[in-house]
Amino acid sequence: MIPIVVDTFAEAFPMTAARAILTADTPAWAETAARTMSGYATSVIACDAEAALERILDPAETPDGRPGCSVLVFAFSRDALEKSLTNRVGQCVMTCPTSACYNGLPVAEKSIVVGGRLRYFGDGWQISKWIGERRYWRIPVMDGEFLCEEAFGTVKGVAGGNLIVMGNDPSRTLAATESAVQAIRARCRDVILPFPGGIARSGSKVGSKYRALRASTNTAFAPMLRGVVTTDLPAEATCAYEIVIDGLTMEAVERATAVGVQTAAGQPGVLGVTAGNYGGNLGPFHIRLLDVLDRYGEPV
Amino acid sequence: MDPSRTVDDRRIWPDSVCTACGCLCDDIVVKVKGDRILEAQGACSIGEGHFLGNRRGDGPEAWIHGEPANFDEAVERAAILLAGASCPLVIGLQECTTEGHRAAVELAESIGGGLEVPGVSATILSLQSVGEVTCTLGEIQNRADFVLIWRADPVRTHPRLFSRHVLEPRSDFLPGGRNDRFLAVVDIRETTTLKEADLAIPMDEGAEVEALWLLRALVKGIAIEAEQIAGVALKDWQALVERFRAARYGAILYDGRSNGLSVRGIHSLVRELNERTRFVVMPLHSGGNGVGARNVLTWRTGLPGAVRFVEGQGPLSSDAGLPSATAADAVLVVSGNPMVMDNEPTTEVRRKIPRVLLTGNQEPHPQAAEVVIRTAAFGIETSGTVYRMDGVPLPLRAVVASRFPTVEAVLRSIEHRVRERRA
Amino acid sequence: MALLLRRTDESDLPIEVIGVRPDRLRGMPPAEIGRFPIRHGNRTVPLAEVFQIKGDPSDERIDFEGNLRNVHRIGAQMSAGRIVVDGCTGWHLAAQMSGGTIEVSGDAGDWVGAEMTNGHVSICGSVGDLVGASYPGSRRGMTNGTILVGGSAGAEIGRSMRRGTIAIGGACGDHAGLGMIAGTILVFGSCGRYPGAEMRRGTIGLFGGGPVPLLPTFRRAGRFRPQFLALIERELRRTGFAGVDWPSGKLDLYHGDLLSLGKGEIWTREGGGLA
Ligand code: SF4
Repeated sequence: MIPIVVDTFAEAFPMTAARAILTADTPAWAETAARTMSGYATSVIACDAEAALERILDPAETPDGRPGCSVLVFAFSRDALEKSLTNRVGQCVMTCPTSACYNGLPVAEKSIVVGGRLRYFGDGWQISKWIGERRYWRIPVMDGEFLCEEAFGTVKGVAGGNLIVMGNDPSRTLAATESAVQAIRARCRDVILPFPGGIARSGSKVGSKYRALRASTNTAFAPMLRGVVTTDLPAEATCAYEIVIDGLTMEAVERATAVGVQTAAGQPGVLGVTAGNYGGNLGPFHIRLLDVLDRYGEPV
Repeated sequence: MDPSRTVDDRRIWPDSVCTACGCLCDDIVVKVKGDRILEAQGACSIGEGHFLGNRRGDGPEAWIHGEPANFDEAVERAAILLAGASCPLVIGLQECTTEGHRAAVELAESIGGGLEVPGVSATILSLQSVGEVTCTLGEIQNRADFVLIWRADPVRTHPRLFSRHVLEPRSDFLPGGRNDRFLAVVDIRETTTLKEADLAIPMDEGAEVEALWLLRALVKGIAIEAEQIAGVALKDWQALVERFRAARYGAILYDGRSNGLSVRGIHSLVRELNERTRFVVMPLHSGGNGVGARNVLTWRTGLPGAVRFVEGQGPLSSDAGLPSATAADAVLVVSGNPMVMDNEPTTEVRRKIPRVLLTGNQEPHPQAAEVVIRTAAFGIETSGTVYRMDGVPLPLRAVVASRFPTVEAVLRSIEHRVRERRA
Repeated sequence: MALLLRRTDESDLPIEVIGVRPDRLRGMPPAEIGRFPIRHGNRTVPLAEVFQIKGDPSDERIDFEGNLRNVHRIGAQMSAGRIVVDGCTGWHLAAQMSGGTIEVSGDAGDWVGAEMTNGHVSICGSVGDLVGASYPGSRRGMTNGTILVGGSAGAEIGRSMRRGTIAIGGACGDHAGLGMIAGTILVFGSCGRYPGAEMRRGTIGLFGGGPVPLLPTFRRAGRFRPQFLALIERELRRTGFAGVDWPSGKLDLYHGDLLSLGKGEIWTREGGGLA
């Protein structure tokens, strides 16, 4: 049976984004810094930001010529982003052996201050350096100094792009979703997949019967509830996994969605690929799956 | 008013000023017979040499290209040379009264030229960056219970400094005179002054700046790790700092020819010492009236040391101006102080530039410049105002008459001719 | 098209080209440019009396050619545009400039970039004293911008500088960074006496490799590999500062001048040691 790409759309939201370039003496420490600073940052439903490793960088690509990683961080406002990024860099990167932290986006008026806040950790011994048009802070620490850029550029990014892979065999469905994640990570820039391993298994819907909760389990995709709630799953489906995509631009999210959908749809055991939305009233951006496949999908 | 009196065939001038060193002793009794000075009572040997060595100048009053000329011809020639230049420069001015300095500034202005007083630049730059805590010699005389002589040998160069001002005088504050005062001397050689010191610190040559920085650190209570600095054990420097601290009124005197970081270091040290106790600083200037030149330049232009006049503009500073030495196309040297020509790396360049020389030397070299004009000898044949190294103005009186005009008169004549030519 | 100014005579008298800058002359008719007043000795003369003039500065570029050794204040106070000098210039090149770029193929005299507030100056040859320095009586030297010198420099470079970068490919004279407030000075040749005297903050890198004559008011911190230097290296290479031997290993770090705040740093090549 040929898996169906459901003619529906993902509903996405604008979020403010920044990119941090982390370097260290070894690739392993750079990645440790990146993974640590993007911990507990899957969804702004309950986290201060959404963040994940974007890419491993070659030494030739980093500002100081050391091994590095780039991390994208998304938050609802520039203020929230500034606070979150400062805390994350301060607690997770500055503390990480040999690390340094640079801004990875153009600095314009809409930039946020990170190094310029962390500098106070230097207790008066911090040193400022202007190099080219950018300012850096050198903060003395126990293995030398932590170098951190003063300001980080921000862009209005797009968060909440998603696709849902449905199948009848949980392990095959997961394997199919994983290959979609791998394909996106290998081929797409300017996006992150903030959930564990890039995959969410507890997809959510807006609202709850409990007043205090803003979101609750996505009952339409919970196979065990078939029969008691309206389901969006195909008849034989017993399992669904979601990939959430945050990107710096609409195009980046759309391309990643196309790559994900196309890869997942070609995997064995996949009954359908769909996307989550809230009826189209909540998010200003609609990413129609068939449309992005049309525009960015590879010819079969 | 002429204070002199005549006894037999001798004229006796009381309270004359000696300009042979920066002390400018103003208590010399000069006895004159005709145009010969017979005696300079009260002067030290240098001062005596200065007075008794004065001879009436013989020969022509001026030379042009080495040929004798009369005064008017020479002035005319000087005016043509200076007024025709695009970039004239007036230098020297050390051996000149303040009245002469004023005339020099006015001439420089009328010819659109530069004016430089050599040898005061480092002091001035230091004052601009750190400020100066100074006083008069009278104050040191009355109050200084601690004196540091830094790299200078006043016993030889300013022989009456200690007896008149710095060490020996008794005062209400220091009734015991020398016994109430402590003398410290830092130098690189075994000088005569060093031998008189209560605390003598002979240090390595070329290490003054390190030593001054060390002293400043010790005064500020900054720990220094070295065991020895400038060839002197740290504990000896500490002993000196203890003396600084014990002083109620300290004075630091240094060689007025010092330059660069040393001057900045000394002035900063004194400023820092003033946070705890009273300290003053004074450069020991050599003879002449360099201090006066600096004062006049400051009053007249607001710029000490060196200025440049350009048409349509006010005076410009030339400390940060242009490489004037190489740029000039005519130079007027006032007073023929040989130092003026020889302490500059650009001497060779300047020698090729047409020059006018005003000199009070008794035997000037007729070919020392394109135009040589003789003037009354400064300090002996000239009246006017001179400034002591502490900035106190003193009246200078000619004790013998000269055949030659004063520097001021020559400068005014040249300026007059320049204006006439312009008109 | 650029404005070309070629000096034809050989007189040694000082010429000051105050105001002859791209941002001032752009849009001026050629006749007016020819009449532009400059200073020659103690007189004011039209530009055309000293320079042969070709082209126009519509693209905000001025080229200087000919004997320029006694032509002073080229690019002084310029705020935008580009000046290219083929030859050696006099004093005050780029003094108080606030933007734009100046390139000199030969040497320059004293006061290069004195009190400049921004912009980029590069000189292939050597320069005189007081690069990026404060003028007498003034509290601050350069406050931003970059001065790159391929050859050597004289004394008191970066005096009282507040920010910005000075890089000297060759040696420098005494008192580099005297009273420096902040900023960066890098010297790739030998260095004169007492670098960093009375520096408050800022960085002086002395990479000539020889012993360094430091004042006793500097204290050694140890031997490190400074991360930020890699960024500066990259930036200077990008702007065309080439042909110098960047240190790759660890460097010795000294703090000072303890007499004035003591937050300055001097980095020297490993094993250079104190003189
Ligand atoms: S101390 Fe100086 S001023 Fe006094 S008499 Fe001697 S040389 Fe003249």
